[in-house]
Amino acid sequence: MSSFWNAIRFAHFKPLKNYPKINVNDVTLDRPALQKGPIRRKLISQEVTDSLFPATEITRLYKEAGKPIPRKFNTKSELISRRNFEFQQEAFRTGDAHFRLGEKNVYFPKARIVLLRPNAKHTPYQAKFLVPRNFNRLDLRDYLFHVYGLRALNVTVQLLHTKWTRNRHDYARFRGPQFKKMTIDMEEPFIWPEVPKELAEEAQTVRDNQIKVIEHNFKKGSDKKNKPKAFDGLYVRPKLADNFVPRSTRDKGAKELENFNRKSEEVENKKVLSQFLNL
Amino acid sequence: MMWKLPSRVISNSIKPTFLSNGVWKSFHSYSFPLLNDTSIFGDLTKAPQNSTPQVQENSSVSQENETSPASTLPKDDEELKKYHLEAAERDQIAIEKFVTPLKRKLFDLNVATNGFYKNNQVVKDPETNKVYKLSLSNREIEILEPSIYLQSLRIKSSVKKATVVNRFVRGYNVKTAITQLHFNQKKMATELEKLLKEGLELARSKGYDDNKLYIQEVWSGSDGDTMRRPDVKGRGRVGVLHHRHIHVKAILKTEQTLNRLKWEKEQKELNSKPKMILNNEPLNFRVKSFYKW
Repeated sequence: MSSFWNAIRFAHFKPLKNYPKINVNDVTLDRPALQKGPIRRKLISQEVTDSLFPATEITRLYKEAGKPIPRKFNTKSELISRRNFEFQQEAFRTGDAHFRLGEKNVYFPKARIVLLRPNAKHTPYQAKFLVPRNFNRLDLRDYLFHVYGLRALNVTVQLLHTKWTRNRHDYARFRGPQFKKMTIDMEEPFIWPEVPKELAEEAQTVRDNQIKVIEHNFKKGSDKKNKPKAFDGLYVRPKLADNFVPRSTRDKGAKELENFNRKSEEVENKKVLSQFLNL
Repeated sequence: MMWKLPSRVISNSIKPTFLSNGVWKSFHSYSFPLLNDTSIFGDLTKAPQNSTPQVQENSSVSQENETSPASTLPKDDEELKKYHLEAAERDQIAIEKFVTPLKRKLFDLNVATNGFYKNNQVVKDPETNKVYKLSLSNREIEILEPSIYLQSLRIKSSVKKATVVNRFVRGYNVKTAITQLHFNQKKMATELEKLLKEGLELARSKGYDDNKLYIQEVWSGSDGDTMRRPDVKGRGRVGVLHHRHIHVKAILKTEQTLNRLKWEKEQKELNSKPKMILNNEPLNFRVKSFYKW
């Protein structure tokens, strides 16, 4: 029956006989959008592309051209960013904090900050940390500056979603913990060193061995006697030949032997005593 | 929230460093103050004077130490071996743990004189020149005679299946049994064969003659923890499927036992009264001197 279904699976499939032949270099993947309508001259505001304070620059250009400044650019909002910029530049020169310090002193921080390995999307100028959930970006900036002297120029927060977990005999699923991560921008690049190949291999072997040992702890019945062969035979015992002694006889015999030993010891003691007393 | 160092520490130790182009280098050139100069506990404690590790000038010495690390593999570790051997001896079932030395000695003397154990015989202890008459119960003789007790690991099978194979080789010479089991197609035959081969090795370690070894007893038992699952049937009914596990145990004995049993049988025959075919007892009914009919 299964062979029948296999046969009809390909009944309606007709492969293309002649695929179109195109050179890879001729193909434009990101084709620009089609030009619709007349081609217009660039606006003065569009000319400024690379500036820290674009609004100021655009305002100047419009003034030079003798044209009315668009309301969008005729604001004082850039004064704030300029003030911040200058404050930070000054801080970099003097070595002070480049941000406004908080007012609560913490002398023994107990937060666990973990530097994570970067993902593919991160540049060397970025670093990612796992932080406690009650942390905010100001906390991290302050922490890094005061504990490691690392300036976080920008902090972004990623609050990870929780995973649904379901155990074998549960009637419902429940949520795991939420993790908070923060990515900072840094002045200087940092690249994680590669993990040495030997170290990784060793870690893998240790893990495999540990799993074997844990599996052994869950063994049932007679398999409990079979010691695991993990860690180059660390647990393996020499096998000694057993005599057959029934369980009931073992208990009885052990008691008999104990009595015998006690009595013979008593006799020995008496001998020693009589010798000592010259009896 | 913010983390702040004690002001004294900060004022002492944070020294901004400049590169040639006037840019303040923050991260890599920034030396962490707490580790170097001062103690965070202020005046209460003093930081160790020579905290920086001194590099050894004699590099050849350090290299030698690195090249010859003590390779402590479990197979080379004498102490570990000793520990395992002690543990194994503690768990071992040996006669010495259950029978008094005098009894063992007399038994051995008896065997040395007769080749096997003869019950109710008089033996003389050459060390003390004392004469004993040793009479042992059947259980005691069973224990004192050389034997190998074999226990298998957990096997996925059932007692019913194993018993067929066990009955096949019961009482066989071990080597004969191994040959027979090797060509038997049952799964339990393979398992039993493995067990018997292990038994041969153990017998050699004890100094027994493995050619004369025979299977005195072999049996199997449930190993517990039977998994059960539903056997769904028609018409809304359900049964239980059992996934059973077993162990196999065996007792191997030597020629001594065979000889003893043979001798005992002979003795029994010799001691038995002569058989009378006709009943020599008086008739227990009334005998009359005439025919009844």
